[in-house]
Amino acid sequence: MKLGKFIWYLQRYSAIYFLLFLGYMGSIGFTDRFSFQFLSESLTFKLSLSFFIILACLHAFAGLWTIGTDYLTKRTLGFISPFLSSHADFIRKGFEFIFIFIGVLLIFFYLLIIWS
Amino acid sequence: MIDVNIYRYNPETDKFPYTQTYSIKKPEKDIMLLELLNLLKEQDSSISYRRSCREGVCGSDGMNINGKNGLACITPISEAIKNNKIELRPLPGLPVIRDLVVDMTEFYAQYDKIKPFLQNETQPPVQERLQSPVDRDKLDGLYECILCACCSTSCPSFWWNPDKFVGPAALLQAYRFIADSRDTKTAERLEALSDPFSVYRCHGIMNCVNVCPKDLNPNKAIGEIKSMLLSGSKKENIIASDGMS
Repeated sequence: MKLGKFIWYLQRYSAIYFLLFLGYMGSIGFTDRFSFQFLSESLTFKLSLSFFIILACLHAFAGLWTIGTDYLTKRTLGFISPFLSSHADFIRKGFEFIFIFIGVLLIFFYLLIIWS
Repeated sequence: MIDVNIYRYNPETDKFPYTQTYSIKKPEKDIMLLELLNLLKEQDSSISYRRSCREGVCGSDGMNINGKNGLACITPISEAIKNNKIELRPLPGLPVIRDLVVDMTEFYAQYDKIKPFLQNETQPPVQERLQSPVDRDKLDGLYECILCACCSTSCPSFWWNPDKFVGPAALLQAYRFIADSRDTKTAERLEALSDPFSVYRCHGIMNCVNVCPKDLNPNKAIGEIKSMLLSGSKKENIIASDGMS
């Protein structure tokens, strides 16, 4: 699948999943099943929450990558200063590294909490 | 009297751009903005702007009129005037050559990228490649673009990535050839637009539709291209719409 098509589908399908997950959470939250014990033991909940976290990070990655490639370019940073413009690639790569690093950390720790 | 604020910049003499205000007696008739500029040029011959056909066909005099892109030759001053003021700036997002004249190189480079000509490798007939009236109708609302750049220069995605995002004007023309029954390079044309920037950077804010002086709808054409890229639908499935607009 082409990258453009992949990113487009990723953002749309993940958004649909978020809505479904929200509905699932609502369906749990308004019943007497809602308890810490249920949340920590239900395999369905753990799997759907894990999937939600991974998709949320990927969805955010696509959005942040778009922001970076829009606003952290030689052209756009050139509106602020020639110095920033000349270092635009480095700044954008740094920005991408930071949000990938934070995303990986989030996924790791959330999955650790859910499954430990 | 009307105050006309004009963006002025001559790279040979000015360090920075500035706006200059000209006061002119309000014409009795509702003349077009281009005529008003011609009157101002009689006051100050150094004002620079492009113009040619003076009837909305050549697309030369695209400019930013009170914050909205448009053609000076078909914009009446009654439409442009606000509190007896008119503000004229060059098309945004393109380098300024002088005053209201912009460098269109990036815009034309994107137009060139979509190969704006019919491609058909089959043996040409003796006279011409014919098209049914139904297939011809599919091109309505696409071929009328005059390449004034009003749409592309009102698009933030084009401002940020003019070298990667093809822009509404060129995408409208890309779809014009994708939809043409005589063109056989549909798959190649779609393939060339399949990266994350060329088409997908359009977020559908519809500035292009809002400013098009020919009332075309590049956003709809972009949507059709996206549909074809995403669903793999074929040229045969394209149906003629009411002028795309």
